[in-house]
Amino acid sequence: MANTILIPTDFTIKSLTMVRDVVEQTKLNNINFILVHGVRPPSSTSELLFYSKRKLIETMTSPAFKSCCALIINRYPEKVSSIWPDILSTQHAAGFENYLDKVKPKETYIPSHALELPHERSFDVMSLLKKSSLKLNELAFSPSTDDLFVNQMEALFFSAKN
Amino acid sequence: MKIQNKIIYILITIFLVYTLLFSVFIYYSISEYAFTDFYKRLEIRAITTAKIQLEQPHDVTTIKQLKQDYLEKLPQQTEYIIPVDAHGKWVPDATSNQFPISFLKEIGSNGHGSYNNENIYYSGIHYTTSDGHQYLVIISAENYFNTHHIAYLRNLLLTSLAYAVLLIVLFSFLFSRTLTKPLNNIVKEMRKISSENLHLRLDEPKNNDLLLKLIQTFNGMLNRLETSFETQKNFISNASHELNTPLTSIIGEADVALAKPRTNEEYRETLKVILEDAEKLDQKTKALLTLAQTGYDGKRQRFDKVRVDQLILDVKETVEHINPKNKLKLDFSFLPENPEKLKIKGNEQLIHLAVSNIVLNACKYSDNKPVNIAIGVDQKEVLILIKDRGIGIPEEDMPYIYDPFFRASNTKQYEGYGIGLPLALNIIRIHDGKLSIQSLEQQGTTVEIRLPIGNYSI
Repeated sequence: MANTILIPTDFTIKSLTMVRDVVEQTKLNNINFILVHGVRPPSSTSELLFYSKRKLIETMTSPAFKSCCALIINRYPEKVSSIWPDILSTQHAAGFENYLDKVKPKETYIPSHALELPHERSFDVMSLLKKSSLKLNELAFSPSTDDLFVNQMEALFFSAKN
Repeated sequence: MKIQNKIIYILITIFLVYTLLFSVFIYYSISEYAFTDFYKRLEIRAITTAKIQLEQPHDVTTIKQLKQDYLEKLPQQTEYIIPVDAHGKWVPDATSNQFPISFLKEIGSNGHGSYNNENIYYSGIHYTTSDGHQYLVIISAENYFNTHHIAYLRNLLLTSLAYAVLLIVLFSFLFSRTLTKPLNNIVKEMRKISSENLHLRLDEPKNNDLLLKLIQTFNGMLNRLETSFETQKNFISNASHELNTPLTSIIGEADVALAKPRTNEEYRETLKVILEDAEKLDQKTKALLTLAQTGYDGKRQRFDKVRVDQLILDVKETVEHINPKNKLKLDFSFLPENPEKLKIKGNEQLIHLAVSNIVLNACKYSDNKPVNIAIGVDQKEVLILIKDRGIGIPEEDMPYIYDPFFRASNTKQYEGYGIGLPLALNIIRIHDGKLSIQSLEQQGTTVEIRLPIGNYSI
């Protein structure tokens, strides 16, 4: 039986360090990570006609991000069975509860500080999460040795923890 | 035959045959139609003539009026009336003798008939008057349409055909030129590439499938060519660069050992170090020889299983030996649980050479500040990240860092030949891997090496 863990994301590799930290902390096994990011659907009809969540996720996730997801799965094959980026399109509490009904997360983690809003229609999922019925675990990002990354993948590797 | 001419000839032939067939068809059907139509007109005139001349005058005033008003007289129109007896035989006289017997017979049996004698057309009907007398009424006239209009049509078609040929030639010339233009451009671009500038690549078009494939294949070929070219070109410099380090170490060790009398133990220790370095020298010579061989024939390269984590540990050992002041930190936190995923197909000495070159550079250009090495495995590739916090590479120098003997503008106070990185790139390319370098001046450099997993069964 797969266990779902919900984590808000901004599709940066830095945010993936949280996935690793969660794996280290949690007692759950066989985890499906759902990395949720909020993007409002487009307001114009023509854009709505060709709107696809998959395509949006495809454009928002960099090759390095996908590579890092695979990296984490390979590192913890017992604990992590999949990592799915997902787009939340509703900003309403009721809609969000519906989403949670569908996802049924066993645990939910939120970072201790605000996430980036990479898309022009991105919105903050954290406020929705905080208002919801979920029990939230707050995690601080592992402090990095450097603040400036020459290569974005460094964020996952060379944090002070290692 | 040139392809361009071939296209022109094929196009001209196709269009010419098509236009010819089209014109012949039009000419033939129009003239056919003109014949039938003219006979119809003659027949109508025959009927009205018969009515006017053979019926009672008071019955036909309307028809007479109509004929006068609407039926124009045809050029050379002549009317003939031949009486027919009770048995259906015409009376042979001067009038009936003018016509061929078959024509008269046709009228007798079918009720109507037609024939032409050169440009005079004849049409006749068999007419029975209201009082029971029978006649053959024949009208003849010159077919004005045939003599004038058809000729006009023929000239028109011939002129348009001539114009069409001109247009076709022009069009096929332009068409073949547009078709061959991208190819000619490629040829022109290809001519620019010589052994002096093998790093040039052809621009890839965005939407031309076939050309894109051609260009990609050509660029791929250039990649291989460039790798082998450079491997050969720089073999001696590479060799001296690579062989120098262990040699210096051997000479240094021997020098120190000979400086004053030593104990047996100390000599043994020195000899051990010398042996180690000599073995390394041997390995490198072999590796360089193999690298040179890959330039001639990729298949000659022998690839075995290489475990990347082991390789990195070996590299660390080598680096510590060559540069004892280094601060190398290994990050194995993302080592996969399944060790099979760490195995790649490759030549251990070559990859060792490539990675240790990069790590030594990282140590050198960061004045022995900490250098991090991390390994991870994603879906298809083993990833090696090497991060230093050194002087970095100026942005304007980035495009040239893989050129042999090129040294960035900020490396004046460091020793080096500018060979390590091109050599590393060659080696990674031989292994179907990717080498990418990101750098910020005065902040540091991160090298990302990706090598495809060997896919050895578990």
